[in-house]
Amino acid sequence: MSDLFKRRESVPGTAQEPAEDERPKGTWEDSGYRMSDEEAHRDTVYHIPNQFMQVVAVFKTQMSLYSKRKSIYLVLVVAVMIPILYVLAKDIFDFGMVAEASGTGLIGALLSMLPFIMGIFTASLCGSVMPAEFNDRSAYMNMALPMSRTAFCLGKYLAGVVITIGVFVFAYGMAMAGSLITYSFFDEEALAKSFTMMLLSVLVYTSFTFAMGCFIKRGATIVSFLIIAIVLPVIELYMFMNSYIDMSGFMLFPNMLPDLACLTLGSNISMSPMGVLNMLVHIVNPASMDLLLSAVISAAWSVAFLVLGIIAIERREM
Amino acid sequence: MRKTIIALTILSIMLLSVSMAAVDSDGDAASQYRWTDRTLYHATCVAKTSASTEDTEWVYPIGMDGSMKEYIENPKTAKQPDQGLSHVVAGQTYEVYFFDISGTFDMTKRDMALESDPIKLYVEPQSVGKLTVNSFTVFTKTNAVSMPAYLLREMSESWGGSPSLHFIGDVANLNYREGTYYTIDMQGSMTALFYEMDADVVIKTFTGSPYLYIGICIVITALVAVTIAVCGRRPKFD
Repeated sequence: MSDLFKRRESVPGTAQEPAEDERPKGTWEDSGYRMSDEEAHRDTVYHIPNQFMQVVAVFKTQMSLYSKRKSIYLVLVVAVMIPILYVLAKDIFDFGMVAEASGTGLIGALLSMLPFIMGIFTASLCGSVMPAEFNDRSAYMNMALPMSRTAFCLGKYLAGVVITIGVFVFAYGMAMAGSLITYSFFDEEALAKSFTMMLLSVLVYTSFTFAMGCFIKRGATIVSFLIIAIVLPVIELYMFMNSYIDMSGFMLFPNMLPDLACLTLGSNISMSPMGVLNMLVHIVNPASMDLLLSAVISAAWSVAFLVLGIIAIERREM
Repeated sequence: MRKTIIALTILSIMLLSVSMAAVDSDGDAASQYRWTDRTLYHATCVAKTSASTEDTEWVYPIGMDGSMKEYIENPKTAKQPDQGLSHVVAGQTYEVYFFDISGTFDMTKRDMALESDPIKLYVEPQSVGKLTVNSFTVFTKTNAVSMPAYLLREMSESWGGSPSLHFIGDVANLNYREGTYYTIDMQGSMTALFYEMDADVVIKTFTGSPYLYIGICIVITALVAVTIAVCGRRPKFD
């Protein structure tokens, strides 16, 4: 955070410049060396940068830390493997059994691991970021810096969001490349809806796991993964199967978005409790989903959990 | 430098993956289907014995089979024929409609009354069908039975049919495969004059390309890769 402190040039006429004879004299006077006020930065006033610049500084630092994370590159390698695995499997497995026979359907089938991987990836990336600060004791150094804790949290959260978007957009690209091997026709509308759902789900998952990391000191990664990928879906599925909520209500749960992103593309399966059940009995019809309402709910969910996380850190005693 | 190489590699992989593709337009239809799956025959027969008629026979006195004839004239729109006589008297002559004649009647000549009309759903190349069956009713001789499930069968001359069980309200995929079509059957066996189905069939024909989305993926991935590369760079001090 070397650029955290910025210099501000003095406004002409306002600085109180002492007269030449009032300046303190030292032993250096004898050396004949002289430096002007500008060269010596005597008229520079230092100040704390604004909130936005604080967020940017933390974001850049966190991105630098993420760039050393092997797990991110591992997921990218898995994404690169999508078309390769498809080429190897297409002759021995009938993908028409798990998805509609179209380019978009195949993309959905190839991305069927999305809910599971998004859960575990965001939990390890965003869920661990704040606990790691305290476990490594670096929080005690960083939070002592003259910056707000809100900016500190926002910068770290945004870095996680950007990395997650990059990884999953890359996976989408790889799945598209895989489907282009066999199919030359795509449902653009489904692709647009699925893409939007994926971006929304990134916000939902990252905010939730980040907030869990702010509340839980140890084991935040596994706890947040279990809650968002297994416990919540099972409870929602139980409510849906017992008619406490109808299908349109069921599809509005934000944590269902990765599943719906796959199912919208034409896949019959996704790697989650709901997605596996949907393979056996079609329980949802993503075509009837209200995407706008879902986006509003997802945005509200993301903001709520992010604010909760920030409040938890603000109130935390060092 | 290392991060720049990683960013460039990711970009190269994305660019290399782009190849030929195409896009979409939808067409849909909600339809009512009525059909038989077996050929119905007609004969003027003399009853050999006094007996009850079978479920597979629709029996009328001579000249009283107007409702059945009307149905045979236009099976898609006509109403269900009445169920006919439940008992026949030995020595009397009747108009008998049947899938399989029983031993009650002495039959000399039979006519084809209604040729089997199995429902066939074809899916054109570059298309995907979505079938939603809202109701499935089997009209037997004595009553109408609502079926909660039906069999969707993919038929091919070379390898026969592969049935899959679907429930009412399910969305079933109808995939294009060269030389195949789909038929719908009821689950289980029951002798019925005809079946009736209220279904939504949406055939989506794709004619476009995913280039726009591949482009978006490339741009977003590139931006993130460059951000990682820039932020991961060691700061230079003068």
